[in-house]
Amino acid sequence: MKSFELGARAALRSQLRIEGALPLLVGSFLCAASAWLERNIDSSHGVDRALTRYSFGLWLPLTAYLIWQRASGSGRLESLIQGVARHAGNRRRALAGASLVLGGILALHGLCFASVTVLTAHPSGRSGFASDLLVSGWVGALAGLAYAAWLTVASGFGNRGRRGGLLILDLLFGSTIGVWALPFPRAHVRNLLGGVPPVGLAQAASSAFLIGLTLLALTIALLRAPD
Amino acid sequence: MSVLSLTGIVDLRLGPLSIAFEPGLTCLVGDDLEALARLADILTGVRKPRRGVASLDGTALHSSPAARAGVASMLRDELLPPAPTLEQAVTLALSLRGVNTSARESLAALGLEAWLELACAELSAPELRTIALAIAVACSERAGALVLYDPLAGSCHVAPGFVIDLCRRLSLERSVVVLLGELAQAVRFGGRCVLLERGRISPFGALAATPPVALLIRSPEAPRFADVLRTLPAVTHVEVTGSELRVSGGDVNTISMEAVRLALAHEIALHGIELPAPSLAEQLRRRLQQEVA
Repeated sequence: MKSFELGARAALRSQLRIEGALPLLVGSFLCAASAWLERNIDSSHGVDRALTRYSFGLWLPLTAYLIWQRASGSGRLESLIQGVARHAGNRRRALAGASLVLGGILALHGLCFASVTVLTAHPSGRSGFASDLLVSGWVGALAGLAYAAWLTVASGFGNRGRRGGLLILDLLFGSTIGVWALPFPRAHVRNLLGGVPPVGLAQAASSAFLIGLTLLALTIALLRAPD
Repeated sequence: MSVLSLTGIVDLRLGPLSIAFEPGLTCLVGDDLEALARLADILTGVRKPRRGVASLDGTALHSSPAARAGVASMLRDELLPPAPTLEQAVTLALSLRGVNTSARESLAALGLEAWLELACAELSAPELRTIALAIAVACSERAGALVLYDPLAGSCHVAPGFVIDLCRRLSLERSVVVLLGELAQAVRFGGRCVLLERGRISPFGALAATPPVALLIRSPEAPRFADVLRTLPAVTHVEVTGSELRVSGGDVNTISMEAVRLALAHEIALHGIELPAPSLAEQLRRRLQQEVA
């Protein structure tokens, strides 16, 4: 368990200081700005469009990318736990600790982005604010966890991790509604927010898909990591 | 008695190479320091080679934390476990390796107890290497092998004599591999010498445990100083040529320190003390000439 704890600690330390808080601050500002724009364009669908197009469609994946880049020193995620592996720690357990902490951080980002977006884009005086906040909050947290798991897998490939490639694939295929969209978080997040579902999936099925994909990705990442 | 071995290793600027380091002292000498550093990483399980396996008693190092704990080491680029202070980081490193020694004791063994409160983030690369050596020394009694990358580098805050003595002592029961950039340094260690040439290993031969090295001392009063030096128990032979003395004997560090002390005591001027040993490039050139001949 010591390696797990040290991996978690290494991940947490990588996101401390003012630079570590920048993705949250800048991301929240961008979410608020895009939500304000959407509200002014079309106040009745402002919340949905701001969440789907910008907060979870653009700013959350980009923030996830920046967090992972910072944690891994623009390399593989293994470099984050090299200090543990160097002294005979268990790489796999350390990676599990680091991934969970980074996943938690990204889930928190998703929750914050959702809250800021709903707070800004929700038309004043209209009902349903609390339910919008609740639904988009848990979808944001789940989306954060899903992106975290996928980026952890991608970080184990190539010399520098294939995170950029994964996010491009997510943008290209996750935006479609065919069967190719199924492995990507974007398609399911869109469905959960009331957008067009991939291959006609129900929202409950998309939730299950997203949770299943997150667990699968984490399992793959940990199985590929050496001890 | 553990055996550290490399089997079919191929990596950037390395290999293919296979070699087993039996208990004893082996100096691995090469002029490609990048390749040597990479090889040290592979030998300690920190880096996975593109092909091949590095193992300790048959257990692959890269995939086994227990095997990695069996190799005490100092690498070129060192890292500590995540912790704010050095004391906490060293404690974590020792506990990961299953060593009960405290951080204070480990650092005190190298006279570094004053560093305990330092912040890890402020440590320089040479300081990190020195701390890695302290951890390696603390782990050495439990470890099956010791791997040191360029331990005599000026940047390491530890006396060369200490490192050489440590390697010689541990090599009686363990595999000790010292990776060096200069053959002259290998001569100081003694033991078996292996060359790393263009990423491949070639045996170079055995160096005597107490190397028959002559210290070159320059003094304007060479004959008088020779008489003084002959009184030293560590000195076996002194040869005078003009203002130069060639002094042979036991440990060159001891002889050179004693020479300075005696020169001061007898008020004899010293112009220099050198340990002349052919450079690796020169050795390789000689070998090539012999092969051609």
